[in-house]
Amino acid sequence: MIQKKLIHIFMLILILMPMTTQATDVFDRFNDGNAAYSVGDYDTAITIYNDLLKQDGNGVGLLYNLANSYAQKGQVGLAILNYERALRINASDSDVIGNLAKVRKDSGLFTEEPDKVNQILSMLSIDSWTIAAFVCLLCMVILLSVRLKYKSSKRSYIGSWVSVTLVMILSVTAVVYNYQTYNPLVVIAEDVKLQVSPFEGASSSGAIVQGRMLFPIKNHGDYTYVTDRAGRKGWLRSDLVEAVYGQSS
Amino acid sequence: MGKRSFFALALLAVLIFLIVPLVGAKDVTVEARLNPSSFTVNEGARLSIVVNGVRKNADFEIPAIKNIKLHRRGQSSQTSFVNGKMSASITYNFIVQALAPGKYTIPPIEIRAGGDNVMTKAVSFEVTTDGNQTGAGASEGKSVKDIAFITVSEIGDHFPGEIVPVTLKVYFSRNYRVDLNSLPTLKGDGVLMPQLASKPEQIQESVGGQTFNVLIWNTSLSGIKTGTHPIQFTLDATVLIPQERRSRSPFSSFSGSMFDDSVFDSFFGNVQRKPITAISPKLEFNVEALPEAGKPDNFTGAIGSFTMDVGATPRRVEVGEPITLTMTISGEGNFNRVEAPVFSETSSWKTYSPTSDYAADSDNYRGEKSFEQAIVVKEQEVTAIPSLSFSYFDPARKEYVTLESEPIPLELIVGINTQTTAVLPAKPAATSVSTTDLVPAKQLVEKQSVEGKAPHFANLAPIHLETGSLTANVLPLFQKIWFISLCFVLLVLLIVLLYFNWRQYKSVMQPGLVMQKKRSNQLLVDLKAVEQARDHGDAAVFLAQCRIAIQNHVGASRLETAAAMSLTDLTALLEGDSPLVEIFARAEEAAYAGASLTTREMADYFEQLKTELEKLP
Repeated sequence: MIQKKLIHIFMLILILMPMTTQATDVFDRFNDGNAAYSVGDYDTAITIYNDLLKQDGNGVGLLYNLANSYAQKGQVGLAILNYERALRINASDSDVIGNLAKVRKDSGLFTEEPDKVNQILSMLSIDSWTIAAFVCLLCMVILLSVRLKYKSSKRSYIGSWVSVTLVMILSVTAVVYNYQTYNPLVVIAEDVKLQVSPFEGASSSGAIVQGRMLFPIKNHGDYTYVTDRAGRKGWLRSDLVEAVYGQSS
Repeated sequence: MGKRSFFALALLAVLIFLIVPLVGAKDVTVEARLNPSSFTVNEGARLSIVVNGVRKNADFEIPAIKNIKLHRRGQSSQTSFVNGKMSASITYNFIVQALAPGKYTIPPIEIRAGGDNVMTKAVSFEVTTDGNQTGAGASEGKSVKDIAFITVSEIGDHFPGEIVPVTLKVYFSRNYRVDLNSLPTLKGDGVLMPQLASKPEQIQESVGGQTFNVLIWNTSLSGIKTGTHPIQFTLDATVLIPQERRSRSPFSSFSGSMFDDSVFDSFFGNVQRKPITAISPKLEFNVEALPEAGKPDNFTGAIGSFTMDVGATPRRVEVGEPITLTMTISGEGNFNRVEAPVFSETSSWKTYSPTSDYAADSDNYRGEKSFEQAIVVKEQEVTAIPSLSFSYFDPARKEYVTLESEPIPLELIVGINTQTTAVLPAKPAATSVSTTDLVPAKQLVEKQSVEGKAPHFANLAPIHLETGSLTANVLPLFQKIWFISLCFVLLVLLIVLLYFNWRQYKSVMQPGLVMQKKRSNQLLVDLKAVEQARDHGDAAVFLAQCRIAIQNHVGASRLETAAAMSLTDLTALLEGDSPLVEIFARAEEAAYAGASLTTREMADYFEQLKTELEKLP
């Protein structure tokens, strides 16, 4: 009996050991990256953080540190891209929000002041609006379930339905609105030119600074047709931009 | 003690308790005593109301007296036998506290006791002021000034809105324990003082051979209108004066009782709290009017000594690209009146409202105010950011100063074909001061990054020490499978619940429909039973089932109990020649007299029954 138990424990240790080793390895590597960052060796830090991202996945801390490293190295586009990615995981991380705002401001990347309606619709992230819509759906189910069993006053029942429906409409509208811009492209190279056609050597229709957010419209070969918040449109090489929801770089 | 003796004692006790109230009820007298009859506002006197001749509680109310507070301090009762005569009394004790000096009278108090209403005599007493001397210091002749006072650094003459640094020093004698009740307060009109820090600097100083604890506040004053304003600083505090106990312990009669030792006075914290107000000498704050001559148009009321830095980034842009203009005013003075140098919107420039950020030094009137403004070039011909100016009044020189920045050159990129035009030498801009030899010209845009060089960011928030939970893919919530599945389940549930709610609503709103459906279902069941009886050729069962089917279908909606429906009821409900009446009559007969039907008759009856019942509404 005891022998059987010991065998089980041994097998469990064998199963868990690689996981523990892997976690320790990630932690050690991450600390190596942090150490490199601390001494100003941003290239090494970037290499380590990127390796971790490819091998072990995305984490707020990892993306944030990578973004900081890019920022300190002067690669504003990649810094903004990774801050944005970190925000997609945790939209309320004050360090990420603060550094992103600072990098944008110091790089002259102003965002247009939205009007009142846009301000309301952009008040929450698309995930938060999605959750709000989901909660409304849940409330509807609860209201209907309660109504089947208990008779509440007609006024309060209708009032509840009106409130939930209004919030639902707002949430869904916001989700639809934010969906159009939920996965922007970030310009990650310097001196990027918008072209009038998707071919090598085509004339330029304007310049787009590094770190600027663009929205894809369509693709053609190695080129993407994009627009920015100011409404400027043009083609650019797809490797000069990177999607926020995309492969880490 | 024998049983008899015990019984006798018990009886005596009972008699005493029965008789005492009767005795007490006879001669009820009351008395109000105040001791002492003269006391100061910081002391108190004991008021005793003695009710003689009762053992039960007396009922009374002391009328309210202005500026006098009465604190109840319990009651005591006494019963005695003297020469076989019993007497009883209750004493109610109060502490009398006066809020203001003066002569007072406690009016006669009506006391209801032992069934009688009796009145006390009025008691007069006098409350005297404690003067400006502390309890402990009274004997030593010490005034508040010997305990605490305030000094103020030199003030001088100033201009409206000018920030005048002052140092307030509050001295407290080390011989006294003092609690602060407030921060120093400025008394006087036309002069403002900002909120003082709650934790001042503390030192010790010797004044006239006496050591004082000194609290120091470095603050500033600002005159808001011209003229001479008398001002004074005050601070409320409480001096804790150790007191010897007034009432000695009950064991005082024994000489040298340990309870009368002064150690117990301090141990039990027997101190008197004496409120005092420390004051400064009366001062005059002179405020002169600002000179009108030479006042610049862009003067916003800034008074002090300032420098200005102006920077812009990026400086290589194309038309439509925003530029961050950073304007920093640093120095000392009234920063609340320092406003951003005006960059007006023109046909060449689009401007946004500037934001400001003030970083003050610890002394609050030195610091740096930064303004950031987004500006956008609208025309390709623009070559530089124009000069910006800022004006202030220098109180030391008593004249206005205007700082001007030099134009900041810009490199504008042409959009199409990426040709570059209007390239200016990237020399740093510099301020110039219109009032000569006041402020040396200062290099501007020192912090600005050099063109083409990778920007570095100072003061970024520090890196995280944890990776955060790692996920393979970062996806928005609405693209996650589990979330989509959950939403789908909720939607299905919602539809199902909507259906059930609709059904419930329908049944409540249209009860007839439900009944109709119920009858139709019952008819199908009944006809099935009739059909089975017919197939078995059992006439008695067949007719009994026909009867049940008619009762269920016709009687259910028309009578309270369908099974109780008789032939008479049926005839009344249906037309007399209805085949259902005939079938029902045959069935009733068969129930009592038996029945014999041929297969043919049963088939006919079944068809008629089915047709007629289905025809009924």
